[in-house]
Amino acid sequence: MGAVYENAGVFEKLGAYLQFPFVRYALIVGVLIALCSSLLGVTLVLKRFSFIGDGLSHVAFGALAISGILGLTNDMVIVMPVTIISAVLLLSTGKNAKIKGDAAIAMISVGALAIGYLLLNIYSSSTNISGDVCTTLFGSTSILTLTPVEVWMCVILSIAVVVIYILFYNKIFSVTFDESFARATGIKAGAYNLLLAVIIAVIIVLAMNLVGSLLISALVIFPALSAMRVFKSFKSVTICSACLSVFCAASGILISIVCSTPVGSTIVAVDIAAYIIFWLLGTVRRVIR
Amino acid sequence: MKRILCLIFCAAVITALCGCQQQTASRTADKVSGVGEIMKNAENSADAVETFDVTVQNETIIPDKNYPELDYDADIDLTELNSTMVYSEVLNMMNSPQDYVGKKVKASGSFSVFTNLDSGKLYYSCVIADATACCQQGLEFVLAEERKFPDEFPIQGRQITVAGVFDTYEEDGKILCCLSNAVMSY
Repeated sequence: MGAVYENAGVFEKLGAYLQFPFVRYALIVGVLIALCSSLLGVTLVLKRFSFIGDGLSHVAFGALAISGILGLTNDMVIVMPVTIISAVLLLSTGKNAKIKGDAAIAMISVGALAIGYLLLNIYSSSTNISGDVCTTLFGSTSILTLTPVEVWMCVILSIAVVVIYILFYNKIFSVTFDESFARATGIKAGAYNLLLAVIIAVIIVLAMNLVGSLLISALVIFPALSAMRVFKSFKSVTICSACLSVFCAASGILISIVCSTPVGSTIVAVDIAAYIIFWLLGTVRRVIR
Repeated sequence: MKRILCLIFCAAVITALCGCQQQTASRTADKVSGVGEIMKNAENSADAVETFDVTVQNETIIPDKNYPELDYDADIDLTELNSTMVYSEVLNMMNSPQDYVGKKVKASGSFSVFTNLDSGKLYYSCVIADATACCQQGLEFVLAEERKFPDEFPIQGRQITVAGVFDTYEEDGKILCCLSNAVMSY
């Protein structure tokens, strides 16, 4: 690996940095996670479950704390099942639930975050709790420290999510817009809601490596909302959201590497900039018409 | 009319909150001096915890980010990268040391010393922080030449540049990483 000189141009620096395997891993995983998040983001925004990402990521943080205390080498053993169960519980609460959707998300989210941090402090096995918590919450360098095994796992899970989404696109579309009508036409809405809950939980756990627990909602929401400013049909919004999310994630990772900024925050900042641009485009388009 | 009243009310609240800052500062100052007194009393009391003297100067130097030069032909030159890349690369070295064993590494950071309380052995390391200085990772080094501590070593916190061959060793059943045959400038 050659030395990178401080006075080198941006493209020369990028070229040199891309020689490092962990940078290439970060780009591959970041792009795939952004793609999966954006696909599910459209459904979540339309079903008024935008903050489910936040809630589930906090649950995952709590589960991560427990797995750390138990000294497990593979966090996924606890984190994934707990997050999936929470997703199923949160998304399965019907209209007759005593605690409505947003209140349930808030309760579980804040509770899991507080309990996780409390357990980390009481049963700490790390010499730098603040650093570990900061990295998990804000994803400052997590995406740059992936092992090849983690990369392969992310790739396989992301491909599975995309394939499932494409295969069941029509059913997901029906369940998203009118669940009652979908049931009436014979679609097993409950089963597809369960499938969506599992997929969302998987994506949230993967996305924690990219942007951290606190910023996951941005990855889910912003691309979908940006696309909705310009496009109106479900298909066009989904495709635009996916392309935009991939572009913003790749740009954010590259900018953070070159400018030495936290990865998660940089990606969200690029998402915000993209939303402002699309909002302006949508406004201009409406004015012209 | 309602909007204008709302705006006036908000402006009044903001003005009032700004005025509170000085009072808050003085209350904070009082608290600091109060805490300082409590700390002094704790140190002077007979029940105070005995501090362990490792005969190490512990002065804090504000890093000027101008790391000392070191002429060394390295396979992995971390001194040329930004803090995000350096921290990530060092973390990868710790997570996958087998990929780096035998490679010449050059790095800059803060000098730090740790003592094994059982054996009394001293461990010297170069502490590397990420961009926000929230996370830090130490890279242990073993100098090629014998040096007497603390006379021939910098004080803790001083910026150093260290280079050596990345290696691993086993101690107390754990695999540890270090730069062997290292050279240091400060």
